[in-house]
Amino acid sequence: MRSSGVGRWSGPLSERKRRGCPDQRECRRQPPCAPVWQAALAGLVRVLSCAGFLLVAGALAAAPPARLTLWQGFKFSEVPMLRRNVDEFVAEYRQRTGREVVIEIGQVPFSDMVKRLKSAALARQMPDMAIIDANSMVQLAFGGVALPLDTLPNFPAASIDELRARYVPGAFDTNVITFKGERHLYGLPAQTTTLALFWNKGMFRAKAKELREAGLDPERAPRDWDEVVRYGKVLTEPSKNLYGFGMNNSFWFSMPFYNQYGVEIVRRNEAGLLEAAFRGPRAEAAVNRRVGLYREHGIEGGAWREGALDPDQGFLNQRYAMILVGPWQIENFRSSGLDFGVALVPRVPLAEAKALGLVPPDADENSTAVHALSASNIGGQNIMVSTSSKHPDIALEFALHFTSEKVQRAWAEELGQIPILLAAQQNLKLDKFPEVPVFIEQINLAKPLPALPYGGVLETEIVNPEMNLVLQGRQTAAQALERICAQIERRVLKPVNDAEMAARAEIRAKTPSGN
Amino acid sequence: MPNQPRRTRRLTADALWGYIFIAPFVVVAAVFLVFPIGYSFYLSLRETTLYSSWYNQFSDMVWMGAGNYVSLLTSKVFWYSLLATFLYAALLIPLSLAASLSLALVLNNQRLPGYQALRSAFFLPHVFDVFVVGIIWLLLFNSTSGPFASLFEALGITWFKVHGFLDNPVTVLPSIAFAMVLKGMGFGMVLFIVALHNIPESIFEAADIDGASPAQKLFRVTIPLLRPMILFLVVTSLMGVLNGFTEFYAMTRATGGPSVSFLGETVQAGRVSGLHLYRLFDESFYGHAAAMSFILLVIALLITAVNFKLLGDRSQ
Repeated sequence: MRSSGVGRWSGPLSERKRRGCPDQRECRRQPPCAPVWQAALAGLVRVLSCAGFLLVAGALAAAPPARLTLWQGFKFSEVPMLRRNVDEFVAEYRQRTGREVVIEIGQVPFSDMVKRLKSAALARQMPDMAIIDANSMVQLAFGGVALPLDTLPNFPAASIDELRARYVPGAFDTNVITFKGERHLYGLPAQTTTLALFWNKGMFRAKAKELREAGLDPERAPRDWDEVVRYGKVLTEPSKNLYGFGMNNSFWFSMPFYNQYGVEIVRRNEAGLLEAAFRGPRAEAAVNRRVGLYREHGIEGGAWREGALDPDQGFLNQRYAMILVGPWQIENFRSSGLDFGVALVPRVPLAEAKALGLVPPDADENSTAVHALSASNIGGQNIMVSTSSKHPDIALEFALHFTSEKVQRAWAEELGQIPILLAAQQNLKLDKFPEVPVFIEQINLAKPLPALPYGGVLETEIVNPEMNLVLQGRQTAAQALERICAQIERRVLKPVNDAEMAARAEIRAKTPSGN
Repeated sequence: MPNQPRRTRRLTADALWGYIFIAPFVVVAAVFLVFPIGYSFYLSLRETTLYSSWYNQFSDMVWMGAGNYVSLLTSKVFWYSLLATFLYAALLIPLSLAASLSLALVLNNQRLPGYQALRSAFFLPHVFDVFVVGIIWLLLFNSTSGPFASLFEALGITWFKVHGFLDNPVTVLPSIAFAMVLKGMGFGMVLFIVALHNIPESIFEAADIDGASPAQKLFRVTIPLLRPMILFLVVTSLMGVLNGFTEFYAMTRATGGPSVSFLGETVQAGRVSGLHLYRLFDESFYGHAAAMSFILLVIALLITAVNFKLLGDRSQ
């Protein structure tokens, strides 16, 4: 670089001769003997360059900040924490990159989020990010509004599976969606929930004598479904509207039964296409176990009916001694002065598990395989980045910040949430929320709903009505499962498989012949 | 006729002014009525797909032709929804008319102490929102802790405690109809009172002279003379039932209530046409939802035509 500079200063040989330089070599080392006007011009150019540089630098410094919008449906008690996280991110981002970011938070009712996003997409008013129901993620991916995060240049891992190892697997999996034959990550888990068993300690104590007489400990929750029945029979008094158990008929709330019995809802066949798998002895056993609590044993208070006292309200009113519910109700129950405990979802009884081949024949009560039978379901919310975002890289950085260990620890310790990052689940200070460790244990045994489009149809139009008929005693479990499978095939899977076949045909058509 | 061309010109000018005056309303009607109806029909011939982009939901639909109509007309759930709607109408309309007329006859007696306060009290539920009323009735009909179930239990009838009101396929439609009768009878009462005031007193005096008993006066004089009002209420109630949605949404928690088997298909007992239409729309099957709305429109037009015919015959 330096030599070229000298050359530039030295100028052509003829010019040096013309200026009368005595020694041409010496002249090469000397600054040019330019006339005054040339020097002035050069000076002017330098001044202008400096001024231009300062102008550009100033303009850059005054550039408008990157503006992003975030729609969320958190509870009002959680929003201050979210605002704090946003402020921390903005400050940290400014310090790291020197760039200003503004994140505007929009409050949308949780249950309306998908509808609002649909309207927003039509009106070209999509937010850059949205925190949505984990089970709705697949709709957004298929609708082309959720950006595959693994395609962004600042994706923080070499592969989706590498990133998965850091998170609660079930919660993470709700974001991994196969779309037109391609598997991508469409979001990150932002908040996760699962169901656990809530039991009313006061109601148990009120029947302590009877429970002891039945050989049961009134100071603990039942561990398997046979125990639930035994406890329930002591606790149930229909004449006083008191029941041992209250359950919801929704598919999502029933998933712990199906997960425990190792039931698949759909699976991929040898051709790689989806097929309904919600049938067979295990599925029938799961349905019969659930329905039997109401029909056979009479310990369920009819909370599954739309017009009855629902499980949460019944638990609050001390009508149902045990229910399956998530951590979102802890504060509600606590503020009502209810004396309650939280335990793992009761599991399949060991003998039944062995008979169904769910555990090895030599498994005992303390084995890991038996512990894993307490499987529950996965809910919660994911954070997605919109395909119309002008700053998807910043949005991804915010999503990663929100799921970082520091933030997740704060959500657990200050709000009693289940951390979605595995590292954040260790050494938590949970003095205010003694129930959270149970939920952490439960979430790691949980499995999500299958990631299918038309998930709403699956739940409200297919499974719930059929199960309602079983609970009414108007059809058997086997009949219901056959009808459910037929409808899943026709209304949910056929469109997906047709689309996948079309996508494969398209890929084949693009592939050069002979390959 | 030398003046004729001049008169024609004047008529044309008058017509022009007329068109100018109605133009704003025509434009508003075209934008907010004609275009949406036309566009809905266009949508009814198309359907969203699994991959329809949310950014272009309506333009990213595929052509179905009459496919949506065929699909609906061969759907058992659709036919059940129509059947449930007409069952609901058969329960609601006669009960509503009977309750409204009874109230009107009682409260038309101005010698009854507090009749004005009673009229206001019975009319009051009509001004409440259907959704709010539905939620209140949901609590009242609660089979575990609701007052109705407890009342029947106290009377020795435990059936409702076990099977519920809104939880049972047999009772869900009658329960909703009962709630809506109580909500709407005040409005019918007001209309009947107005109609009763319009019956000339001389007719009743003539009946008295002829020695008619109170029952004869009611069935031979009052009710025949109230027939135009009855027909009017039947027509408007039928239209209301065809559009019925909110009460079912609120009282069955948007599901349609308990399941029932209909021709081998599982459907929800309270899934009337309005709720079925909503569910189709909610699941983003916009083409099916639009097609269903046109089928319901045709049914509504047919019912209206029959009623107009009846009303027309009567007035002649």
